[in-house]
Amino acid sequence: MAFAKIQVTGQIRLETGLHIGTSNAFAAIGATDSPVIKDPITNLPIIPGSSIKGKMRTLLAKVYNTTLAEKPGDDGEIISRLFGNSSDKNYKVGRLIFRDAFLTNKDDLDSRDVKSYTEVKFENTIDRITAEANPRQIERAIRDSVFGFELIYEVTDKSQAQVEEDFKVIFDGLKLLELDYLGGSGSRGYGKVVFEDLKANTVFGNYDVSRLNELLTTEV
Amino acid sequence: MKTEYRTFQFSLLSMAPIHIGSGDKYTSREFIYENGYFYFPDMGKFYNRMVEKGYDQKFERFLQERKPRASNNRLISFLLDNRISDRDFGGYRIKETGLETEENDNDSKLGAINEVVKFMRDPFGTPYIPGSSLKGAIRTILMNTNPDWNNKKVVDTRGKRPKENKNMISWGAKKGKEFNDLFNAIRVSDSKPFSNESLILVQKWDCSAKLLKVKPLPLYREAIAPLTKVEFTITTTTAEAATLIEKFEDKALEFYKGYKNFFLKDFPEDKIQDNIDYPIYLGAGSGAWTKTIFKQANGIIQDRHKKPVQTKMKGKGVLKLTKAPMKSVKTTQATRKLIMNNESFYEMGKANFMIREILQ
Repeated sequence: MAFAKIQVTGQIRLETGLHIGTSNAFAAIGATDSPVIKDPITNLPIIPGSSIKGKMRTLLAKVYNTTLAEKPGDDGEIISRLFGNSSDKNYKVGRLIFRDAFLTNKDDLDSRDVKSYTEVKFENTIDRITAEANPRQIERAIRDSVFGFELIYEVTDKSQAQVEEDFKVIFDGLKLLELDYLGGSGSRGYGKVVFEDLKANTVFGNYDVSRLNELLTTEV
Repeated sequence: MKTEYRTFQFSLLSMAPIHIGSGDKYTSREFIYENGYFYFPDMGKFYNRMVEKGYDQKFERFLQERKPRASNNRLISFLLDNRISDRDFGGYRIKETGLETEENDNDSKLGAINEVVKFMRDPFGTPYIPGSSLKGAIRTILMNTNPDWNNKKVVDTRGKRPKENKNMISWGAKKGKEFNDLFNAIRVSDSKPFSNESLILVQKWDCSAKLLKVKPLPLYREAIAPLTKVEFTITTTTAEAATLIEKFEDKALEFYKGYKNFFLKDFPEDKIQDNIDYPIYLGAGSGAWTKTIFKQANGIIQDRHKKPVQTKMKGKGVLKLTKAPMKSVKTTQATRKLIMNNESFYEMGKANFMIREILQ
């Protein structure tokens, strides 16, 4: 029986400030009205795995679905087998595990004299009839933050022949994420990310990843 | 892999000082005017040093006191009074232009300015222009030049006072309907950060249409100096959005023509600047008509300013100018000045741009 786990590691670098929102029921008057999600222990911003997974899935669905899927359950086979599909008995659990990404370059940021790992951006809407401004404050994880990215791919008897095909899809997904944005307000410049130092590594079982690493360096 | 994504390079060239505010300002006790420079120290570092030197109580007293002469209330007078010669408090310097005088102030020497509105900065202290600012300016031009959007329907007359009908252009997710959000498909990046050396301090000057008199106001802004280049990328995700960006240069010209006929024609020609490329107005102080759908907003904006007599708007209001050093630019034909007058007056917020598709 073939069973292996392939780990893809790398870094997510923020080219522009990133806003992955969370709710804040107790915001003070005049304080940030949309905060970003943070690690409760360190109070540093994080990128939840669910955000990466969800964004990557919808982006890939535009490319790899043959018909327009109305709901995630309608996704085609290629997407379903990677991301899971609750309405398809073959792919109840997908082959990918996304991990939350934590800030890894705190010391580097400290040495560059930043006061906080998030910034508060003041913005406003201007009414195009009355010219009245309606201000808002949005929190962003700061530019040049680096987050540790980790992805686990599961090789089984069934998937063994499809590993390379699957990895092409994964790399396309990462590339699409770089062309798109992660988190909120991306149409006005937030959330431009770059994946750096991507590496595939077999962490359990036997699988030769040299071919995958070749793909990684040429594709991304 | 095929996608509909297309990327454009948006190269902005400032034609006049441009100010994008961060929502914050420096008070007169937060900068040092000395030797031809305005020095904005890192006030956290500054205070720490005062504590080290044992000047913290004196400094706190200085902050609370108000001396009758404005010039004695500035940070430089505190440093001179206490013979503090250190100037390494972090922060940055902006070179004076020599045009920062405060004529209304009886203390009319250079550097006697009060508050300075801060420019937008990233967490490392470098200025940049956020994509949201450029996107708003692009949207204004697109809405002004599209007859489907520039009509009576854009005014929402329900409620106390008329306002913009924000649902005229479909946006956001609607249950049971296909997602149709045109301005989500136009993605404007933040600009690349640029250096503090590109910034100057500029004052607000108003030019009235009737009297044609130009008067200074006690408002100073950190602004990008004329002829600074700033790069953005715009990504479009649908064919419809890509067409809008492809046609945007012509739309900008069309908007400018309309704006000139509607507003600029009431003012002396030497205060208006000619374009090199395609015109756009960005950021603070460029005036309400560059921010609104002016055909529909005309009348409504004036109404809004009716009540307080002091700020009552006469006609279409004043032309907003600023003073900056004169500069020339080489065009294909000749070298020419950016401005037509000899008094260093620029139109606040004016910029030119070009768009080029990046093929990958």
